[in-house]
Amino acid sequence: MDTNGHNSQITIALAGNPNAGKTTLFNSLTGLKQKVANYPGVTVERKEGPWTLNGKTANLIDLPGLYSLDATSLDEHIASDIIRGEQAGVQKPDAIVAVVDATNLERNLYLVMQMFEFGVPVVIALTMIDVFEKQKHEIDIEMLSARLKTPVVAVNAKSGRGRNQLAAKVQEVLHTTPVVPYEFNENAENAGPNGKIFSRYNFISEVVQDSVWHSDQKSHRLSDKIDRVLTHKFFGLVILVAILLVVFQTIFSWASLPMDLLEKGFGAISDFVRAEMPPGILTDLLADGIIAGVGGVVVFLPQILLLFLFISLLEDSGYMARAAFLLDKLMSRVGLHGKAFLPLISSFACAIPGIMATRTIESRRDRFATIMIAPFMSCSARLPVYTLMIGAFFGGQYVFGFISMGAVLMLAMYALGIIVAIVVAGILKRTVLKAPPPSFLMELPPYRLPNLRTVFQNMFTRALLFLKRAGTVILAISIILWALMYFPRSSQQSAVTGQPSAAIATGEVSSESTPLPESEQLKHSFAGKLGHVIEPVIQPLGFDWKIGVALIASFAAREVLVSTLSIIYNVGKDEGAESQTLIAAVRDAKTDDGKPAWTPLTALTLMVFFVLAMQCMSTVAIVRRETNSWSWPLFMIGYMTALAYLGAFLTYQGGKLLGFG
Amino acid sequence: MNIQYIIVIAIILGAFAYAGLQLRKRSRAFSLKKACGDDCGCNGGSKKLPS
Repeated sequence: MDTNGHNSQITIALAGNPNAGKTTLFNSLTGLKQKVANYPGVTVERKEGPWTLNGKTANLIDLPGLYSLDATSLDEHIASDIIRGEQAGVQKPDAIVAVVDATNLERNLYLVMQMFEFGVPVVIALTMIDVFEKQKHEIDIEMLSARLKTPVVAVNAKSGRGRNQLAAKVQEVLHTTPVVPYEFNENAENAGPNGKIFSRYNFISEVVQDSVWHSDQKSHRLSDKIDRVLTHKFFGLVILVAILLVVFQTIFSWASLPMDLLEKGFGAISDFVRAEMPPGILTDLLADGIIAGVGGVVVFLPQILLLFLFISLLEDSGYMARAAFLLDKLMSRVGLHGKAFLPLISSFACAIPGIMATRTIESRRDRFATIMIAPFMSCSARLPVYTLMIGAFFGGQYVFGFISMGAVLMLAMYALGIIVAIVVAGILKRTVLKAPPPSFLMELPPYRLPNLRTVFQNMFTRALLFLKRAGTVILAISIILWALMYFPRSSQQSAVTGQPSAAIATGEVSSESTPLPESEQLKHSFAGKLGHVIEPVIQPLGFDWKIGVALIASFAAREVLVSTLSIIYNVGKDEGAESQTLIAAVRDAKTDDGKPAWTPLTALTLMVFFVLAMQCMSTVAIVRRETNSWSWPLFMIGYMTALAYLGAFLTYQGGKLLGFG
Repeated sequence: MNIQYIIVIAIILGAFAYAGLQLRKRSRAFSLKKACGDDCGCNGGSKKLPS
């Protein structure tokens, strides 16, 4: 506390409309790396970071994007509480930096008008000024500042323009009382219930007229022309499909070389371990458990990186919002809220941020309907599974001679998830979550050249998360699975009698008994026994017990399927058998009766199962937290698993009937 | 019991311990947060809805 009784820590709130550039400015001012995208509503939770103001460190709070402070949705509630100083554990801000998008000045200034009424000093940070100037508009910042009776600073987070000036202006306004720049007489005859709203808009209109000149409408017209094609109900969808095909095809072709190199690298490490270490259980664990398990997943890093490169490029250019607009037409037909588009798009990376982003939806029923379908969006954890299946059975095949079969199948899996999600949402909105169809006005952000720094930052963050997961959770699960596949060690006699061998206790097979071949050991292991127990259930889907073990393991996390298969085919490899890549091992795998364990139809069935099944403990946890109930996550696990089984069953049996088996 | 066997047992126990810790962390996320509003998914960032 200082001598005046103020807390010595200065708190500054960063507030503004969705997609005004708050998070980009926040990252630029604090040096932090919050996620940024070119669509509204990226910041659902409050984020904090240090901002140096004239040598002092202030606490900068990045609030969720808001259109008003009327507090109708949860995020508006949180933001207005913080500005009022009514949020528990958060100091009332000493000043607000109002982030205002120059290209949408009138709409953005409405929120600023409300901020003035809270009695907290405001400094306006004018963003997108470069886009605004490119559109041949001119803005008189001094006039704007004079009319609004508050400092206005043009900023550019990328170039750093206005950053120091903004800090100086914030310093100036600290501990001052803001002046509300417009007048409103509540007792006037024409006031009415919405009188205050009209006064604000009238004032904003005057201010904008005085301080902005539009010298050219060409850019607007061009953007509108592009939108007319990209959001067209037929051509828009054709273009969307074409873009996704190109993206998936590029991912497959660009990733194949680094993937091969990584696979060879892990193979070489495994060979090195086997050559340099004495034969024994530790060597087996390192080569067959850890290197095969973790390496099996890490080889998909190039594809994950490329997927996020394209997602970031599409988001940052503004195209993703157009794609969402196209899907919104479908979503609104089934009664899903338009605001559901952001959570669903976020779920393509991971369902967890997607489910958290549903907080922007005011209606509880609409919000729960969105949460229930978010895991159908194909997240990045499914990518290794799709890639493995496509690489093993559909690689090198083309449709119409030039479109890769892999890209078509990948697109089909993404589309299947979206279609099932829309159907399920329609059913939920007509039954357990019945509510009137909500209205929603969607904002289409302007097109812009993607910011390469933001794009690479997103890629880097995702790569780090993927590797961290491989080095922690996947590593631990790989070791446990290896142990379950390795123990108990059986001899010829014990395998016949079913009695446990002495080897279980010592880890060494006695000299009197002959050790079983590794493929037989695997069959008699704990995992093998479990696999045989569930085999009758999964046989109608075309899966043998080894795939069953991998399926069970993947309920912890989807990509564990890949590491489990990698371990299972390494552990079960008999002495003298040549070491091979996972794709080759999957292709050559045999069932107990010597038939091929996998066919293209089995691979397709497994992919369909993965599109529809709820196999992520973290998602279950977040649904429990967000719905504050056990019934919703249990319902989600139940109906998604049933749907996955049914989908896989229909795919396999239908395929067999059509002669693909 | 040779040294390789002892090391492997230690690694497996470590993996089980880590997985157990992760499960405990997840189950905490499952537990009810008394300070939250009915419809509020709150965590460290957003504490509670006003009454």
